[in-house]
Amino acid sequence: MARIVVLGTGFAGNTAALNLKKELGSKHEVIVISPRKNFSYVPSLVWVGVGSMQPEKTQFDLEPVYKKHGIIFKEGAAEEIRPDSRDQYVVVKYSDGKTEQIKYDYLINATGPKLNYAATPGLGPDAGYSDSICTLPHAVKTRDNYLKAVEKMKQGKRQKFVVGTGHGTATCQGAAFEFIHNLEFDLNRRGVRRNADITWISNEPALGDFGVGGVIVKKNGNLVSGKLFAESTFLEKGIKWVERAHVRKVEEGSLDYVNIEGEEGKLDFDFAMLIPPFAGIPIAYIDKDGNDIKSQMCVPSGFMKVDADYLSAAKPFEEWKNSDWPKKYNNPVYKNIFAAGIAFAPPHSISKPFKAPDGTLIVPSPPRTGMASGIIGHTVALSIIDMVKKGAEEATQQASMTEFGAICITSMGKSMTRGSAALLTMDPVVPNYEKYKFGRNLNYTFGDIGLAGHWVKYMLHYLFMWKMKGKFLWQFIPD
Amino acid sequence: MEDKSVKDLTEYVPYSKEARSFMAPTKYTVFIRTFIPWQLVKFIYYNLKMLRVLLKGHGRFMDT
Repeated sequence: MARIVVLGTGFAGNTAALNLKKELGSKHEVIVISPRKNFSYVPSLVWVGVGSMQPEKTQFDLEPVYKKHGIIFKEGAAEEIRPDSRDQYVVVKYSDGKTEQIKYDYLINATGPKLNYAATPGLGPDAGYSDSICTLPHAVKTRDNYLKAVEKMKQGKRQKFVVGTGHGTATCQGAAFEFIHNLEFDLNRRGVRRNADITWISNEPALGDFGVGGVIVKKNGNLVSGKLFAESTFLEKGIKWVERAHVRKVEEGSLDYVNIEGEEGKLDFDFAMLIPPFAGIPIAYIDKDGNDIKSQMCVPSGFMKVDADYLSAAKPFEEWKNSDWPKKYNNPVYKNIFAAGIAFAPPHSISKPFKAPDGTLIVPSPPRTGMASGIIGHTVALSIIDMVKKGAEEATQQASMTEFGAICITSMGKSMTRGSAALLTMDPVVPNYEKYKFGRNLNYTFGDIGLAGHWVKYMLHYLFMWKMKGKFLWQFIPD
Repeated sequence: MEDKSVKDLTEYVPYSKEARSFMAPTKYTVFIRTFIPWQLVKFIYYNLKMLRVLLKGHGRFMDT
């Protein structure tokens, strides 16, 4: 009997666990470890943040799901991984302070990100002055602060809103872009838009970069940059913007930034929603002699090393290759340990990195959430299934972000009759300039804005909640 | 305090840096984006577009 331990219950972890159990059956054990027993549908937290979706609609309890599928669930935090002792195991700490050693034959690290608010002084809802929609509690707090600002506007007071990224290396610009548009849409709906000044701030080299190096799409007989589309949405909604910027510090009611050109600026705000940079979940890696081997297992930001070329990060952008990116997501030293979703360390950014004159790095980190997470989690599960069933010595399946495509739906207002969303399909996720002149296959790369995009986003919310609950025919819903 | 790095295209300024790469939706485009009969057609079209990407992407779970 093989035992597979999955750390994390997000898109990557849950997809992997459900697929592993489906294929391996009762002869083998699948154990999921997470400090949270709820699955959170993060893409809809933008709606929670402006009060247009009830928080409970984005959550469900995983325990009955795992019980039904025969998956063992441990509600605790993985604190330590012992990868090369005779009995490889994970040390789990429970909420009552007790610890347990859980042995494994195969391990999937799908722990997601640590929200690194500490990278920018004053950033974040817990010890800072900005809000966030990265977790449900943060999205609820954001909603409460947003509604307070709305009440002030109803009394005729002008309010300043700043939305974007809170650090030069943050990711998830797409989520912030969704939030600023939903905020603007909701202010209109509430009849207080005239009392709002809305400003976007981001570390993207240009609007519409979204951390994937931008996109070129066919439109009305032309090839058009996504930058123009992104700018046109801000123009239409009367939103100002600051791009190529690193937020240096956030204070009560204002933030300071520097951009790639070295221009320093300050934005005043009454409400700010800023996405933090991500880091790896802090887990200790200890070898058989008790030595800390984290530096061998992880990059400095704490994400786990997989089969990527990490030496390529030192090369100039023009020398980066598609072969730098991982295909199988197994650790190069311990082939039975995999990382999926945000937990794996990308070799470098996708977008071109820039530095401010003072040396501050300003570049979006590669997004690897949502669909990419699901695909990677599924791929890793299929490899482990082959290793267990067929006796393969190492991973057999591959899914490189330079090969597979992704669908992104960016909500721009939640209403079944007046809402809209930008639908973007791209193939591949990481531009492949060795293969395609514009980096992507233009027959599969597509972008459009409209109400139908909102219907798709709304449909996918319920479709993926169904899939993640492992309900009837879940396996036929794509990742 | 706001400075020159804040881009404001709410008013079109001829020959400004921002005006060099200008694009804005027309009233017709804004209307058609929420015109339900047309959006129903788009909904079907979007699903076919997504299906195409999914079929291509999911064919890449391959043995090495």
